Amino acid sequence: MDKVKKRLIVFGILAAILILFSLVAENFAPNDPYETDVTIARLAPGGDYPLGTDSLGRCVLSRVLAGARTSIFSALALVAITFVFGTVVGIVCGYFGGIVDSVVMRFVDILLAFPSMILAIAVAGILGGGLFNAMLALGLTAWTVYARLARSHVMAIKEEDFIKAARINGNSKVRIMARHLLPNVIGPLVVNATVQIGSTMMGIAGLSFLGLGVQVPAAEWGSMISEARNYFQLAPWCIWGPGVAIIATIMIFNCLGDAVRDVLDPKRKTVE
Amino acid sequence: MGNLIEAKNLCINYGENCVVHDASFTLAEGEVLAIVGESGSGKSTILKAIMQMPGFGVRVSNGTIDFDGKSLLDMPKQQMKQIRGKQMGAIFQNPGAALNPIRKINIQFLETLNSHERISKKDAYKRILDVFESLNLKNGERILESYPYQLSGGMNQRVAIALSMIMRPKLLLADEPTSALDVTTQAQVVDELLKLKNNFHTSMIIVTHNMGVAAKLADKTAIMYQGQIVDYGPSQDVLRNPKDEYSKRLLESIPKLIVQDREEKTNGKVVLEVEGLSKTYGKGKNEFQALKPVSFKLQEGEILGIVGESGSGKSTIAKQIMRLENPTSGAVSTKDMVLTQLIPSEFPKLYKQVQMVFQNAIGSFDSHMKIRASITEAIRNITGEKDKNKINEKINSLMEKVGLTPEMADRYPHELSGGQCQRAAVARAISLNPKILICDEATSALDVSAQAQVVKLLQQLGREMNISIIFICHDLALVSDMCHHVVVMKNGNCVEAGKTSEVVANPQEGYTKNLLNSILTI
Repeated sequence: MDKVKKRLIVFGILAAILILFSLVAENFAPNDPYETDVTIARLAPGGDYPLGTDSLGRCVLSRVLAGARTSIFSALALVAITFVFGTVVGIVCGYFGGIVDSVVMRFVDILLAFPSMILAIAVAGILGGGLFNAMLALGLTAWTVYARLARSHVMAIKEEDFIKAARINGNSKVRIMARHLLPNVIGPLVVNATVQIGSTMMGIAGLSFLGLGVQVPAAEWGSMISEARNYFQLAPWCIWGPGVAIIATIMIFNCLGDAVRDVLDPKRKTVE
Repeated sequence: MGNLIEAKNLCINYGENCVVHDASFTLAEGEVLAIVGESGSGKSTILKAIMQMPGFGVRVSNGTIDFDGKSLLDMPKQQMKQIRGKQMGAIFQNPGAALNPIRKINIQFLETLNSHERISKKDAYKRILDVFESLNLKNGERILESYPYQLSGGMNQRVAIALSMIMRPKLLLADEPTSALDVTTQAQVVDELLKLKNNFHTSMIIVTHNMGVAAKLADKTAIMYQGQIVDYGPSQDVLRNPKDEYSKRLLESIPKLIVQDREEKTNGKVVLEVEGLSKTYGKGKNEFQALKPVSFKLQEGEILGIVGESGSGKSTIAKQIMRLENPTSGAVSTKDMVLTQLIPSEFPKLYKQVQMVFQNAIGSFDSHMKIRASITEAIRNITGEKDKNKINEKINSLMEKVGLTPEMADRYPHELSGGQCQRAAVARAISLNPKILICDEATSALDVSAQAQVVKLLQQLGREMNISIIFICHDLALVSDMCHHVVVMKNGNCVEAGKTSEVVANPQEGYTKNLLNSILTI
């Protein structure tokens, strides 16, 4: 087995473990993540509280574990949905061109003209708080990046000989898009998606911080960091816990993305 | 006269890979040496070793190169830089590569001059125009005021030659200087290089795969095969009476201009009729008529050649026949249907009768699919065959038919050589038993020996499977060697058409004569 495939398997397993663990993590919490006790506020790590406590005396480790599912799943689901939707729109627009392409791309221009966070705040504000609404608000603009990227790559390769060859070999348009265009453009899209996992986590955290995302007192890594920022100099451990969790998660998904891209590139297989 | 370049027992490596073994040659002042061979034979590597440019990754592991009596390999970097700048000039295959696309030509010339000496603008212009004049480049001022993209590829290459000559180097290194050009422009560039040799007594090393260029320009020729010089000596001897087995085979594969009547081999039945076919791109101000109405007939079992320069509309014809684009006007019909009237859902009928092979063999296969998967797709889509074993058996027999092993079908396109991949493309096209095969510059990207093999394969398949072939090509010599009828195209017009033998022996149009005169023979 070559190096590239090994890397894919290693990071694939790590990502799977992370996802499975996040499902059951709540049960491993040493303390009640929601129990407040001001008398033990901002305790340094040690004893009953391995990662310390926050300003309301809640166990940081317990909250990190309790928030794992929300943080990871909301980000993953949002990225997956926007990735699929944006890619399909981009490939179809790029391949067919014409009036549909013009209309969709002008709509994309309009969405991209707003700073995405401001638009998300506006949408979430109109829809009201809640995780689902926060995801909807972020997803409204997130798919445009994939659509743009897929469209430009498709436009570049659709005039190439292998696409013409595929046409004269009787492939239907759908099949050409699915079997010939998609594998040839998916590399940069996957890499983009893995990068988006990180920024999506931060986006959800940002909305939560404004009270438009995850509602207090529910645990979520991003909102934990946002809260802890205020007393960062007094109790830095409140940021360490969720911070390390976010970094580790993003790293694993980024490496997984790189490995997927490499495996998708057949030229790499013979070189290594 | 002494030797300008003397190379002895050169071994050149890329990393650990030895690509040139034990090459020795000399080049006297004012002499021209041609290095010919297939792609991958190590020709260009020798040029890189002489230039000693950092960053090429070439390493001379054994032997010596002397320039004007001094060893290039032991020279300090600073001195080497001086020699490269003042005494060596280089031109490359892609003329655009030597010129900065966003700066006017005059600025690029002045920059070169100023980096080597202090010279006033007036003197510089005079010197540049002198060089232009001696190279027969007309309208020097206009050229100097142009950007590279405003000039044709051939003109860019000639400007690049002038640029490399402005410092009057003793040695000019040319890496495939004419390979990217049309035959007529190629002839101009070769003339220009001849002038350099005669007027300036510049020594040249020319790397090329075109034996005609070597024969016309070079005093000495070296033939390379798999990193070794297999034949070396005066051009006349090497190209006329090769001693080595490989050289003999190589020289035999060069298409030669011949006049031969092949009429008796066809039976006169028409399989494809093209009438008044034309294509216009764009609308309004951007309107561009790429193909003016052309008409021709393709007879059963014949090979019809379509010849012309790039931009003459040859490939546009192929695209209209295959319905890859919608023609502006005209009709294309076979015995049982009018191809130009088909609606998209009826295209499979067209694909079953007419198939196509593209210029870029490797690019005509999806790089993410093995060859077998690509061919399977064609068979399954068009014939409706679903049985995997039957399809695989068919592919295996097709691979053998085109001279490949069945095992090669299980490779990715980039794992095959250009010639092998083009055979696989032919296998894919004939897997549907088409009556008509369109080859769009199918052999142009291959070197001569691979080209000869693919041509032979096409001829054989045409006979055995009774396939009529439309062979689009820019090489009139090759067309004269294999086609029964020929259509000559220029700027979207059909300028001449008829039996190949008659067109070649007795061309009526000035353009056809020009094309014929541009063919470089040995």
